[in-house]
Amino acid sequence: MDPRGWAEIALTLAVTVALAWPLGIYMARVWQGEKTWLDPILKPVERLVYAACGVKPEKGQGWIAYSMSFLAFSVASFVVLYLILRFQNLLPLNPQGFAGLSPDLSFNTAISFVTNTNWQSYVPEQVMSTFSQMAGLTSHNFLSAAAGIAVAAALARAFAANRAENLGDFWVDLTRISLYVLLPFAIVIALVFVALGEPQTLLAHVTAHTVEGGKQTIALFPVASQEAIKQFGTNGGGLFNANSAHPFENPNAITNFIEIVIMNVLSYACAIAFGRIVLAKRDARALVAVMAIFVFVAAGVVYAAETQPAPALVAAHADASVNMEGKEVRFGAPSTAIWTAATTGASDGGVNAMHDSYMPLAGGMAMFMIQLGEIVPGGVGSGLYGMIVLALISVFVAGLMVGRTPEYLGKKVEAREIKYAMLAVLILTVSILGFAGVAAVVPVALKGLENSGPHGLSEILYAYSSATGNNGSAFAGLSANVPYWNATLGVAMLLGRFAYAIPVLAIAGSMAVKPKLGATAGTFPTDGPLFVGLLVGVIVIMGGLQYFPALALGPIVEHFQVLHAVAAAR
Amino acid sequence: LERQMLDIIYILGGVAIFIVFAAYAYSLRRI
Repeated sequence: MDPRGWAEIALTLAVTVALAWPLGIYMARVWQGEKTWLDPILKPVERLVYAACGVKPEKGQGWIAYSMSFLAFSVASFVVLYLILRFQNLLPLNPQGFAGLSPDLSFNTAISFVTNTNWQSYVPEQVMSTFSQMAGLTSHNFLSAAAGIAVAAALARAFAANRAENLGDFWVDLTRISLYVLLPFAIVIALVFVALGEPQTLLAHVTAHTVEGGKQTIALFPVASQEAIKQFGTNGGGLFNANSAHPFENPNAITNFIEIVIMNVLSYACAIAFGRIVLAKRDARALVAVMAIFVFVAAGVVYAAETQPAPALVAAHADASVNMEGKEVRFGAPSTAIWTAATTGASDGGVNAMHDSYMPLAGGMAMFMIQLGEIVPGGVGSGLYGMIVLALISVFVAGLMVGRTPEYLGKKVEAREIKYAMLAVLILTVSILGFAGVAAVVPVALKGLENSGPHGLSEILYAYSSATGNNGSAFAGLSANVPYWNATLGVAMLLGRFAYAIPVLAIAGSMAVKPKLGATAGTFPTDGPLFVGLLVGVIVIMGGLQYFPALALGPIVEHFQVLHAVAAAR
Repeated sequence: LERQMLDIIYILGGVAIFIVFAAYAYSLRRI
């Protein structure tokens, strides 16, 4: 380990959080329908969308209507995207002449992009047409991100409300977040990426002549525009199989730095916007602090683990100071470590290194960050509402300790909200451990594994953690493009997205109708270090208790095997 | 024909899961 490595990790995190502040302030205005500096350009477009879709912005929705709109939008998106992928051979912009995707792969991919997961069971440059990438997948990178943020906006309005039932309108939130937040920033970021060397072209490929005199055909796409929203919307799905380890998606250290920052900035900004709307800026700061603590610690664990000697390097008497297997030389261990923490903590899922090649504890840390529920800082919108769910559980636990009715941000937390919160939290465990447990014993699932023993279990556990957490990164070493994996991972993605978001909207509905209370001497403060410590503890204990046995059989036992192998090699 | 059957199964299966989520949302009102 090197002090410069630690400085790089700290600097990246500091820049991300600092940029989240102005973005959060701006986004609060968008969530509340207030005037923004983009109104002169975008207001007419916004009105046109409402007129074309029959949306009445002033009407508002209760939590059930909001949930139904969310589901209706998602199911329609799923069907349309499925058809685009299945029949891409009949659609334009297919210069590669690719056939339609298989039914099970279309199912998996359509769900993957509708749920903001971007799990990819396929090799993009070998199967996906330009039209499918642009009209199918990239459009959902915007819309699925906007839908997640919309749920967070509804929750924020619920906490701000005083005896109201109206959470806002899903269609208005979807439109405004897409138009005012995602689109303009994605355009600017895409232009920056073009300037930094990422391709932006409709050409199918370029032919390179190698120094040995051979020819190499290299696939091309409109990469920069996809890369921008891929990271800014915590999507993570790459245009190339190597994802952001590919030099077209991530050419140099500067693009690498920008991509890490933008894959987290919107998630922190959601917490800041929440604090402004609920008039609880200090409480929001506490949430941001908890998120940042986890990212820093996770990056530190990955960095420390990746600078431990790997058995193969020790046996070869090579330089074992850094495990460079699966890493890009142009990024090195610290950049890879902070990327890993950022992408697994944020449900982004884009990778700049192969997680399967990490030392066991680093791979386990990546998995653990996903298993915490994608809340530190989490996906756009979903990170915030996941964090609020755990904050409610934390104040409930604190209330039990001191014997008072718990409150959070001026709202009493009662049995009903805790039941909703537990339903949300438990669905993740049921999906991850349930599907992984079945896959570990079913022969048709085990056929796809390329490793046995603890590493094989890690591959299974990571796949279902990634799908359920709507992360989308792959541990690699798993051939998932078969009907069993495509179908079960698809269902896991749906459970992680909707079986979590629906109880959250129920919490919003329940909170909105409650009176807003002022703080009293008996109110447990939720804006100080005590609450930060409590929330960190609840997150770790809930994650630890639920997943520790499975992790012990996977990455933890593999860690001890590695220690034994290193000792033997010496 | 087999692929068309699979298309129907996957599309209807996906839609059915969303209907279950809608029913789940309504069931939460009783808590």
